[in-house]
Amino acid sequence: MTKLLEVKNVSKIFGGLIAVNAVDFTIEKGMIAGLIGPNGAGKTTLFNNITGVYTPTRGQILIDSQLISGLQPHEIQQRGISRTFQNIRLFGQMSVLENVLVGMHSRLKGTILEAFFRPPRVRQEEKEAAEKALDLLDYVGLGRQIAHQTARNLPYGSQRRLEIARALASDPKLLLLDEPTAGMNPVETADLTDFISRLRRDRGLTVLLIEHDMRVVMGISDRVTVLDHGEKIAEGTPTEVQNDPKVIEAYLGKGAVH
Amino acid sequence: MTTVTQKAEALSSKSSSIPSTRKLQRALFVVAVTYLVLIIGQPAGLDLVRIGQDVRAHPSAIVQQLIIGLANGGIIAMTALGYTLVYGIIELVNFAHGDVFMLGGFVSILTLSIFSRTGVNGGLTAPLWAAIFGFLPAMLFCGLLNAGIERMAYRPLRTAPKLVALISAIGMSFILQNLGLQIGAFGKLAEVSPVFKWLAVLGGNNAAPKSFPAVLGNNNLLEYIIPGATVRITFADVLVIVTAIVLMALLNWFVMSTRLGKAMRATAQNRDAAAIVGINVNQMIGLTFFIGGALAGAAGMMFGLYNGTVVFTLGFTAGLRSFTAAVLGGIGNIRGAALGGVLIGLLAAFSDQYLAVRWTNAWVFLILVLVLLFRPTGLLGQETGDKA
Amino acid sequence: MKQKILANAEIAAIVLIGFIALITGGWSVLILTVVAGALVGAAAPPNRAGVLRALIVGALTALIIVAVTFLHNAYITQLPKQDAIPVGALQPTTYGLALLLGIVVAVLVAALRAHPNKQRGRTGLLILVLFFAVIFPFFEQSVQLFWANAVIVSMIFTLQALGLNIVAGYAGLLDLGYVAFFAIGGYTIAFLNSPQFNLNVSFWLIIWIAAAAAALFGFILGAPVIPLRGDYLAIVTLGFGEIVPIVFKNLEAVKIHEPVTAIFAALFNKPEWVRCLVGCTEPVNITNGTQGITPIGRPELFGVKFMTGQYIPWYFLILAMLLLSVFFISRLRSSRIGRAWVAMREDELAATSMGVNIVRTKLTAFILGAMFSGFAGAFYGSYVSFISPDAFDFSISVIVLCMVILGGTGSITGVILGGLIIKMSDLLFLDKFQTVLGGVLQATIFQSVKSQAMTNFLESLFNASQYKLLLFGLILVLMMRFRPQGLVPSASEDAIT
Ligand SMILES: Nc1ncnc2c1ncn2[C@@H]1O[C@H](COP(=O)(O)OP(=O)(O)O)[C@@H](O)[C@H]1O
Ligand SMILES: [Mg+2]
Repeated sequence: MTKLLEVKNVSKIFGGLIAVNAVDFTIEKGMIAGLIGPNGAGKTTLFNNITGVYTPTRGQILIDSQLISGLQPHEIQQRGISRTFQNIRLFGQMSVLENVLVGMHSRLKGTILEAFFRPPRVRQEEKEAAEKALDLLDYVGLGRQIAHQTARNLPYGSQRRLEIARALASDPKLLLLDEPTAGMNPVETADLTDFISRLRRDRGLTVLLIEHDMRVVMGISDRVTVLDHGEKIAEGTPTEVQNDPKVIEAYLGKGAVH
Repeated sequence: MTTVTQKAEALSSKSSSIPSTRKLQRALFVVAVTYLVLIIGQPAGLDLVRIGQDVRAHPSAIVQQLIIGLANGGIIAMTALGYTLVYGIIELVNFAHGDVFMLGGFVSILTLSIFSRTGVNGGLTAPLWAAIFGFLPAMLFCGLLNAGIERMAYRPLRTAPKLVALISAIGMSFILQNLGLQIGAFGKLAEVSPVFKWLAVLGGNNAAPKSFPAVLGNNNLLEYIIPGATVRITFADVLVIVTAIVLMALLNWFVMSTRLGKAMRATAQNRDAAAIVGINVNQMIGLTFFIGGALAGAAGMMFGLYNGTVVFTLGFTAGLRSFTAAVLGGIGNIRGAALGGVLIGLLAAFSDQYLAVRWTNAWVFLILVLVLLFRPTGLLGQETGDKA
Repeated sequence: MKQKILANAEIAAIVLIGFIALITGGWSVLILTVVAGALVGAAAPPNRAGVLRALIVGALTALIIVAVTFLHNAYITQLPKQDAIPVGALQPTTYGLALLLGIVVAVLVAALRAHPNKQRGRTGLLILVLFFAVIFPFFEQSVQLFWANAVIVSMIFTLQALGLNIVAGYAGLLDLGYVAFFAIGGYTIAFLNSPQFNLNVSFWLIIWIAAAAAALFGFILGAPVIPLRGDYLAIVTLGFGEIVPIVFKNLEAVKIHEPVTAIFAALFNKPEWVRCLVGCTEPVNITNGTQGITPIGRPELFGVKFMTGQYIPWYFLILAMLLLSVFFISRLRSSRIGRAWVAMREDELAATSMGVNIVRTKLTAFILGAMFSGFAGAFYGSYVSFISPDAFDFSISVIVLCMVILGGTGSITGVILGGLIIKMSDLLFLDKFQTVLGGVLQATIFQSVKSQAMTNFLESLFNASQYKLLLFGLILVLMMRFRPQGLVPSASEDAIT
């Protein structure tokens, strides 16, 4: 198998707080990888380092063996990494369709003058983009009929799905999902878990999934990395990790099992 | 912010590998920019030959401008403190602050006018004690006004995007300016009844600058020490500089050493954490606005005493200068505001003398842009953490 | 909650337009009922019931406006110091026509909005708007309303507001020095087509040069500042807006020396060493200082000359420019660039994570906005034929910002509405209000006040035209507090290709 993402010895320090401490891990193409750990373990911070929101204080991050740490978020997105956010960050006042179209921004070419004159090429491009966006809305289970609703007005679960559709719009190689099931009930959670495994089957996508609740990841992940206090404390198959005493302590010690 | 620092890091890491050529390049760049400024600056008063002759002809003028710059710098610093305190606590550029300062000038002129009488040359004169106690109403009024503005126009918007509050602040600035304009109308009441005679100081034209009653003798204090001195130090110079130092020392003591001051700093550091430990955040923000306003009120009085007139449009330019001072010192940093104020005061004084009065605002603006470009954190500020 | 009989928007429209009718009176009733009808029609829900509603509310609104106009014509004109009303305005047929027009427009607009075929409905609306836009100047002229100048200047400012809407409304960047680009546009045409340098470049070329010059300055200013925080951009643009007029005011006697020789000359006090570069025999007068530059060249099209006092050609020229701009901007908004602007405004972090290059996208918006302002500046210079630094005060930046905020940030319809309301108030309605208020005060309070001094004081205190700043300030504060999305929120305007 080929390596897609390599995180090498990455640390992120905020003032005096070491949020991520010398973390190493690798994701291979086609894998669904889980990243778990109690609240405040540094999972989101690690995501932010991978996506360029933060620059690692130390260490390197590579995708397809190319160094990406130090690049800006949009440059990293253009190299094929797409993400969702733990606290949903949609473009609230835009329509559902437009939210997905923004996800395609870097795949489209139209310039200012072309926006004005709309030559056939741009017309075609926009039409295809809209068609693709509508298909994506169907694919994530929202349905194309809601395309013209304002994103802000969608129910919570739909907003989560819309975020995924937006992230998929750029045809990424690697999809980063930050607690996608947060705030969902067990039925919705099961639905979404199914959907994530379908993503790999249909699209050959590699997924890195953050979960706070470790049971969710166990069913679908090939490999799980566990963070606690910014450090990697365990790594392996779900069963290995589940039985690791350090992991049990991290969770039980925090009293966060539910 | 992160992106900028990243770029800077990337550049500096590259530069260390080939230092000599980079240094040369940088030197050439600086020379080129200086040359350009020396050319473009000429219409804006940067006439080196004339400046050279000026300095030779009146060398003492340098000292004189130093004193004027210090006094005006003290006034600017007092206003800059208001910007910095407020920015430090709620990250808002309180656009209306300059206009609070302007109204401070108006309150001062009215207070003085009540206690003044017509002097020998027909102008109004007020006794010294009126000038000193006159600070109180101005400070109280502006403090309450500023706290009231916060309550009405900013507090309801605290959770909204930052620009929403900023726009509200611009609106407030206009409202206050209009207030300043319409206060002038009351000058006409002086004709109506002798009870309102003290309003005559506002004159007959709403928009015209209002002259402060003369308070402080125009004697050159330096003459008492060095007879025949060409540099003038008047009582006004001393009063303004001393008041500025006293008030800033008081503020420093208050913020650093009192319980309330500590609570205020805690709120500025982290509002949520402050609320958890039982600090009343709203009260602290209100207090900050009150203090900032009171300082602006004092500055309004000082400005009037020192420069002789106030006008309703005063707040805009004064605001821009003070804000520049706050940014130059490092916004959010109290000592920075004091330092920035003095520096801008000096710059303005020297520009008035040696460059051109009409272009002083342009030079101040140039400083603002240069600071933002090359040292956005200001002289004394440190990198603030990204709250994203 | 109780069902309200009238929606807030309808009440606001009735109060606002009713008030205008009260202070203007005369023939304006015909315009005001049409505008009110259009607003009522637009506010009604786009369905059958909505059309019925528009009929009823439209009739009510038109009736109120007609009644108020009657009040004005019959009583207010009798007060001291009032403008005379042209005779025909008092005919019962005028009132009847106004009533009818108001109702018809309300119903038509509502019906077109409810049209099952959206595209057709839209075309119909456009035709309706164009129809009234085209007949307006002829009507205005034939009844001598004297609104034309105010309308034309308002349209120029609306053009500017449309540009600021790109910057502030779409991209969410607060540009407080927008007037600087307006000034650059104005001075561009003043330099290129006036006796100042004896140049006579064609107007049609200059407007593009003006736009390009403004864009260039936008780039020079924006490129370094835009990567900084948003409030810093606001302050830097504010400073820039303050400096540009200073520069134009003071470039009237320019003389430039060679700096190196000047340094030595200054050091050794030998003025004769200085080598002069520019303005050696006589300082160059670039901008003519506070006196400004006049006359500025006018355009000519198909043999029609655009001249002072002849409003109709100007009106149509600017109307055409406005329409073109609306077309351009709405196309931009629905392109990938427009989406990137709004996405960035909504959530910068999410936008950059979706591949939007923030710095470049912001800069594009900033420069395009500057371009519009420069463009509008050139028109303005040519229209008033006179440019001076006083025309570019900071308050103009705020007035244009008010237009965008009142109308609705990011909404084209809103910005046009806001632009017309605010600038027409600034130029026309406030003065009219002042006349009426003066008359009312004269007839009531002042009569009982014996002392002339007291009257002077009251007159000065109740001078409505002195409260412009207050009005604009209040608009900003109240809108931010109670309706930050503006009168016509952009969410209601779907930007769909
Ligand atoms: N921008 C920041 N500045 C300072 N501290 C931060 C910042 N972002 C995260 N942290 C801190 O880093 C730690 C890890 O946070 P996070 O990555 O959000 O945890 P997780 O996603 O695993 O719950 C927390 O203690 C958090 O307070
Ligand atoms: Mg997290």
